[in-house]
Parts: sequence; C-alpha cells; structure tokens
Amino acid sequence: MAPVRVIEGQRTKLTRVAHGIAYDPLHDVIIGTEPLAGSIVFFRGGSHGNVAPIRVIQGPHTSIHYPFQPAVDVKHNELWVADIVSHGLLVFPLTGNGDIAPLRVIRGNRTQMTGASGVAVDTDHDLVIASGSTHGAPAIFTFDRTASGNVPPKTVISGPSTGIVSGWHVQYYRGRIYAIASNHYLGASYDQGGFEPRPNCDGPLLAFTGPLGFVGVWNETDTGDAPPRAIIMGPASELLHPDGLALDPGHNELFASDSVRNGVFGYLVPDFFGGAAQR
Amino acid sequence: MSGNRLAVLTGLIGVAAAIAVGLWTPSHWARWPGFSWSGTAAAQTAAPANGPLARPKVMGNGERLVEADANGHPKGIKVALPAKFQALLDSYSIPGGDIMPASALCDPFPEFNGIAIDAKAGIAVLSDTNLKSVLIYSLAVQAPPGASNTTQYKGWVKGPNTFLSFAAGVAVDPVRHEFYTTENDVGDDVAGFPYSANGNFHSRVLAVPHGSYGIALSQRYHQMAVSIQHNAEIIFYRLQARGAERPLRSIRGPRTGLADPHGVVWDDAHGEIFVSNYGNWNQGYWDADYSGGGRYFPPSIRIFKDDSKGDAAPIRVIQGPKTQFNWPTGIAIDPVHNELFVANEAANQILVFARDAKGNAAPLRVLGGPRTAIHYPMGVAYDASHDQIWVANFGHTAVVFGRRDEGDTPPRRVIRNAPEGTPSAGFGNPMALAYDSKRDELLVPN
Repeated sequence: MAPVRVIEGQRTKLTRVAHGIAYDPLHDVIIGTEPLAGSIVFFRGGSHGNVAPIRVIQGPHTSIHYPFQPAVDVKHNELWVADIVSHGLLVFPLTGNGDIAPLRVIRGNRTQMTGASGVAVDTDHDLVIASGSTHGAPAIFTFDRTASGNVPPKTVISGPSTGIVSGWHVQYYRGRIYAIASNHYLGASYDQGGFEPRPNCDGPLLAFTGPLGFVGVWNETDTGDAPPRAIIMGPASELLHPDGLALDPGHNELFASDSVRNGVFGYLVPDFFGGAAQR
Repeated sequence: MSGNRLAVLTGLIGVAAAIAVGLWTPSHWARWPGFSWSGTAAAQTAAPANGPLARPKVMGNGERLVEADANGHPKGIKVALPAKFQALLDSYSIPGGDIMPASALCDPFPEFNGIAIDAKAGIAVLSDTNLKSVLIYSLAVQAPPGASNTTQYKGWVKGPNTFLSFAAGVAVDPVRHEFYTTENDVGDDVAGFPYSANGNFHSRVLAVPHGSYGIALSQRYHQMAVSIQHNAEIIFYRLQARGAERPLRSIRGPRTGLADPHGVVWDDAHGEIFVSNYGNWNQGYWDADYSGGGRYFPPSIRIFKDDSKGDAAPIRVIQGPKTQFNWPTGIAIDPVHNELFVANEAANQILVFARDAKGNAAPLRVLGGPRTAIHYPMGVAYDASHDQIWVANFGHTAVVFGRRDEGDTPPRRVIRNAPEGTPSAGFGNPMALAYDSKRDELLVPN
C-alpha cells in the first residue's frame, strides 16, 4: 500500500529518520522532532509535498540536543519532548516558535532518569510519563506534570519482571501506560562523538540482537519490578524490535512501527483499553 | 538513511487484508547454515591474555550477555529475556500475548537504495534497506521497460553473517573485485564482500561511527572514505580494514561546511573528494556539553582535496538556487566526459553538472519527469562500458538511461526487484508513529 500523502523535500526541514512524531488534534498540527537539526517542526495537519513548516523551534536557547518522542498536552497548551542526550524532559508552549527556552525542564541525578526516549502526558492526574533508564536498567517513570528541575520521580517501573531490555516510546490512556519494549541490544562501537572505537571494542556487533520486543501495558500506579498487565509479543505479532506507538482508543486499535521489520502493524485489542469502545 | 519523508497512511480500522510478510524473521536465522552462537557467560568473566576484553557481562535487569568468538568471522551477541519475565511468559500469566495484527504494512520485496558499478567487471551492485540485502546485476541484463516480471540478478546477498542491516551506500573495488556497503543505523559497520558473494556470506566487517551513509574508495591511497551523517564528517580507513581498526583521518569541523553528508565520490584522477550535503547540522546530537543549538544550511555539493584532514575547507562548493538541489543524495562522476551526476531525491531528478562546477551553478542537464520513472532516486552510477547511467529508486526499480538523456525521457531499461505495479510503502526505518484522529490516518516519519 502506498501512502496517501507524503511530506518531503528540502523546504520541510525534515531530517533523517525522525525519532518522534505527534499530532495536535486541537490545532490540527503535525509535530516532528528532528535530531540531525536539533529542531521541532510543525506542519498543518493536511500538509502535502515540499511544504515549509508553519513553525520551527530551534536554537541555542532551546536546550534541544537529541530530541526523541514529543507529547501534546492541549489542556495546558504544552508540548513535551524527551531528549535522549541531555537525559531530560523539555516543556515548550504548544504554539511555540523560534529560539525559545523551555518552560520547564525535568533533568538531574535526583530524577534517576537517563536516556529519556519517550514521553506521554496524563492531564487527568497531572502526571507525565517517561521511558528511559535508571542506573543502567530500562525504566518507566512518572513525575508530577508541573515538576521542574532536579526532582525525584513519583514512580519507577523497572526490573527483570518488566521484560524490558531496552525501551523506546510510551503512550497514556485512562490510567494505563502503553510502552514499547524494543529490546534492541545497542552496542555502539564508537564513542558518542564518533572519534574512536570504544575501549575494548574489537569490531561491530551484529545488529538486531536481543530478544523479541513487545508492546506492554502497565497501570499508571504500578511501580518497582512490575510485570506488564498485558502484552503483544511473539512471532505471530510480526514484531521484532518495535519503536513507535500510537493509540486509537475510539476504535480499540493500537499501532506499532517496527524499524527492523520495516513495517507498521495494527492490533484490534479492546481489552487493552478497558473493554468497550472508548468514544 | 533512505529519505526523510513523512508518510501518511489511511486509517487501518477494520482492514483485515495484510500484505504478505517479509522474508527476514528471527525464525529464519535457525535455518541459515553456518550461523551459530557460541561462547558462554563463563568465558566472559576472565579477560583473555592477548585479546579484547569481553563486553559488559551484566546488562540491564541482571541478564547475562553471551558473546560469540570472532576469529575473523562475524560475532554475535545473545541477550536473553530476564528469567523472571520469561517465566511469566511460559506460564501464560500475562494477558494478550502473540496477537496477530489486524493490519500490516510491510513490503515483502527489496527496496533499492545505493548503487555502484564496475564497468570492466560488468556488474551493478545495489543495496536493499528493506530486506537488508544486496543485489548484484549484470550490466548487460535484459530488462526492457515493458517487461513486468522481476529482473534476473547474478547474486543476492542476505543473512546474519553478512552484517547487512540498514544497507545504504555501496562502493566497488575494481582491482580486488570486492564491494563495500555502509550501515545507516544500528549496524554501525562497513561490510566487505567479493563480487562472487551470494546468500548468507560471511562478510569482512569494520566498525564505524553511527550513521554511516556514503562510501567511496581510492586505489591511489588504498583508502575508503565514509560519510557519517550524525557527526557531519568524512572518515577514512585503510582498504580492507576490519574489526575495530582505527580510522586514518577524518574531515570534520565548522570550516568543512559538512552538514548531514550523504553521497561520497573519490576522484583519484583529480585528487578530489565530492560530498553531497543535505544541510542539517546539530553538534548537540553527539556533544552533550554543546549548547549552541542546531542549524539548517542550504544543500550543497562540497569538494575537498583528497588528502584533506581535520577542519579543512572545501576547494569548491556547488550551492545556490540555480543548482535545484532538493535533498541531493547519491552522486557519481564520469571521469571521461568530466560530468557529475546527482540523484536529487526529493525532486525525482538526476542533475548533471560539469565536474568542476562551483558556486550557484545551473545543471548542464536535468533528467526527470513522469516518463522517466525516476521516483525517489537515492543512488546514481555511471556505466562507462555502455555510456549509460543507472538510477536506483527507493523502491522496486532501478532505471537505466543514456548518459546524455535529459528531460522527460523514458528509460532504456527498468531493473525490477518486484513485479510491475507492486506498491511500495516507502518505509525507511520507521521509528515513530502518530495517529491523526481528524483524518483517521497514521503518520509515519522515515
């Protein structure tokens, strides 16, 4: 199946393999995070072709290093961005533009969070959910939505029972956290700057090692070494090492992209959303 | 990588039809001969006297990292699921499980990416980033545009021993009859093969920085030049380098003007290296202490002296609105006629410049239009034996033209890796996903 629309071209300011995308339903805006340019780009929802973004957040005041998943909070007019290199969660005005400083940043050793790759917002309970690592182990965190600075998390889901070898993106819906366990083993051969092979490196590692990844569902109140309360995992699921995650509760559907499989898969899972159609 | 596009798909609600699954699944690994995991956790606890130290033994949730011995062959890492989690799975304690998708968008056919030609040996080598493979064709292959079947290949290299993953750039060594491919994502390697390689071939692999794209070889220097998108650099290694062999030099720094470099060409005859640049730049990606923010620069082709190193300025730059650059990706040189070919990916064109063009130069010729069947051209290569150019589309075709063809000219031949009319989702490593509730569409960045 070919796509119905493609946004592409030099004017778009899109960069290679964006690691994050979100849709703002209130303003009908597509939001992409662009790691190779350190930017966040905003397009009108119906955009097509080689179109310029309507807004771009970029510049030295933004604190953007390597942006991953964005999350939209229309209730408070805020945009969250997980930044994997700065190990933090950045908050911008949802309609922000230009070289602007974040409204808040959650970052620091007390957060126990490094390598933030995913973020989602629970505006009902004023919480923000993030995926990353804690003390070298993959983890899912919750913080107060209005938290700022070097603050401790409210909960940390991490441990062998989680089944997460490496995480990626997260979503939230009505008290539940939906998280990708990509379970990629990423053994980079070079240092972060790409200057030299890491100490003790004697060659590249075979890509896509690691156990099968999955989509897991936790309650937002879970903490510690908590297993998922539901999963999509196994050869029939077609998932190898999933990455992106999107929810359509209105149709009881959950979608996952898998960069290794190079595909997108949709699952009809009413029980994952509480049973009845969530309209 | 294979494009920076944002694809929008129709909603998949209630759609049960699924495109046939791809050919590369973990279950296939067990059927490929010569591939085995060896080594034990115990072997990792003691450092060998004269070898590399083992990778970290304990990872994440306390699970053992088992590493196979290399001895010149590709090495694998086996990472098990946490035992507690595996026990939960084995007892079927977690609701859900192995749920089949109601809808699946996954191309079962290759999708071409990079291309290189050895005219003397009579082969074209094309990378495939979808099935993680390389296809080799004869330059004389019969592929009339009207033929609807897949084109016969000479070789199809794929499997875990190859170390092919997100295969991007391709280069050929006409002296040693070897070809090289780069890996644009977590592969972090350059893999080398003989021209005769086929199937699950044990490649010679070299560790390189993350985000390698283009590659070019020099017989004069016996070196390879590799573009690294993320770090905005060109990094050089010895030809046939392997393992963790250190780079010989790199071109990197603000004076270079490198920003998201893609294609690379090494012109031995003139002592020059050509690099195509998308213009995206962000030091903060790899430097946590850098606070200067990212930048967007105009797209360009930058030409360096081939002995350049460090923060070297280019000797020429082709840049400006007259160039018509629109994500200039693969590039190639015709040393006989002194021409530079550019796969202008987002404009579905091949631009032809004078080899020594500079500044805001207009192309000598532009090949593009619906009749050309040029569609997301990622790679271009010149066949001196037939005076033709091959264009690798990101998808199911490569198209062949006469060198001087221009305008909206139909191709002379169409190389197909799938039956005619097979759609392509155009996925190139989709790592994110969003749902547009207004239009009932999925947004997939690539």
